[in-house]
Amino acid sequence: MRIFNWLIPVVISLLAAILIWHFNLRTIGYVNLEQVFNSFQMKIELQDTFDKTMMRERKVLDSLNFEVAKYQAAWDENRTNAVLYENLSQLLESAGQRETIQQARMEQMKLEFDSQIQKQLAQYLNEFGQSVEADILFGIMDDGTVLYSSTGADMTSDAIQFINDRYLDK
Amino acid sequence: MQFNLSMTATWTNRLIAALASTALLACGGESIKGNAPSDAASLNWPKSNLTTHEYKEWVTQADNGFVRSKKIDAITFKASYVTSEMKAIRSLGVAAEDIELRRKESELFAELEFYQLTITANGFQDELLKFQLDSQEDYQGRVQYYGFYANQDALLVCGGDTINCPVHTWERTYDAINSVVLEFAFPAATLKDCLNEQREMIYTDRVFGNGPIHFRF
Repeated sequence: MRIFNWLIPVVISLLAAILIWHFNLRTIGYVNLEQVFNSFQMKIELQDTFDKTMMRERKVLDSLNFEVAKYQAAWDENRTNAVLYENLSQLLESAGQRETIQQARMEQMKLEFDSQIQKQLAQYLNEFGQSVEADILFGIMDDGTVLYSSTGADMTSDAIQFINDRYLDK
Repeated sequence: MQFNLSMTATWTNRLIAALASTALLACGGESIKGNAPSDAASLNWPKSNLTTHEYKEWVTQADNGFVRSKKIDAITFKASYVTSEMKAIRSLGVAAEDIELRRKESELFAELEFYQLTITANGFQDELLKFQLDSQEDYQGRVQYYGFYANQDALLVCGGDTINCPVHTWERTYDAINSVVLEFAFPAATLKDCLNEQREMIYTDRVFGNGPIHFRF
C-alpha cells in the first residue's frame, strides 16, 4: 500500500506534464473572416460582374419605364383613345414582368456567387491552415470574439495573401 | 462587402455565418500539393530530340509547368497545356516515334493553342455527370453543356488580352472513366503578341458550382 502513496502523485504529475507539453506544442491562430472575405479577389471579381449585370438590367428597365411614363402622360391628356390605353396596358404589363424576372434572376445570381465564393474560400482557408501547420484556426468576426491574443495568433493578412495567391494560381 | 445595397446585411451575414460554421478548421492531415509556378517561356521549349515516351514524361511532370491542378470542395480540376508536339503524338500513335514525322505533324496544330481540363470528383467512381445529380433532366442538361457550350466558360488571358474560346471538344466516355475531359482551343494568331508571356486559363465551373478557376502556365 505504501507504494501508492508516492506512485499516484508521480503519475498525476507526469500526466500533467504531458498535457502541458502537448498543448504548448499546438499552433492556434485566427483570421478575421470579414476582412478575409472583403479582400478575397474572387469576391471582388464576382461583385464587379454582379454590379455590371445589375446596371445593364437597370438600364433596360429604366428605358421601359420611360416609355410607360410617356404613354401615361399621353393617356392623361386624352382618356378616350382606346389604342393608347391598350398600348399603355401592354407596356405596364411588360415592364412589371420584366422587373419580376430581373429580380428573380439577380437573386439567383447572388445565390450562385454566394455559394461559389464560400466553396473556394473554405477550401483555400483550409489549405492555409495546413500551410502554416496550424492545429486549429478560428474564424472571428469584426465585433470581436477573441479577448486576448498574442500578435502571432492573428493570421488575417497572411491568410488574405495566401487565398488570393491560391485563387489566382500564383 | 455587398452586392446589392438592399441585400447588404442578409447577404453578407449569410455568407460569413456559413464560413463561420466552418471556421473551426482542423488543419491536420495531408499537406498541400501545389505545383511550382511555371516559366512561361519553357512551355514552347522544343524537345524534338526526345523519344515519344520521354516527351510524354517531360510534359506530364508538374515541375515543368504544363500541368496545374486545384481541388475545390469535392472536385479536382486538372488543367494541362497541350503542346502541338503532344497533339502530334496523340494523332500519330506509334508512328510518332519517327521524330521527323512528329515534327511535321506538330506544325498542323500550330494555329491553335490547346488546353485540356480534366474534372474529377474525389472518391466518386461512377460517371462524373451523375455526381450530385438532381434529376434526369439535369443529366441531359450536363450532356448538352459539355457537348456544346463549355467553351463559352473558358477564357485565356495573355499580356493584358482576354481571348474567348471559339471551340472545344469533350471526350464522351460514359462509364468508362469517372471524369470529364475537355479540350479548349484558342487561335494562336490572337496570341502572337504575347508568345513568351505567362498564360492564364480561366474556366468557370457552372455544373458543380465552383465558379471561376484560374490556372497559370
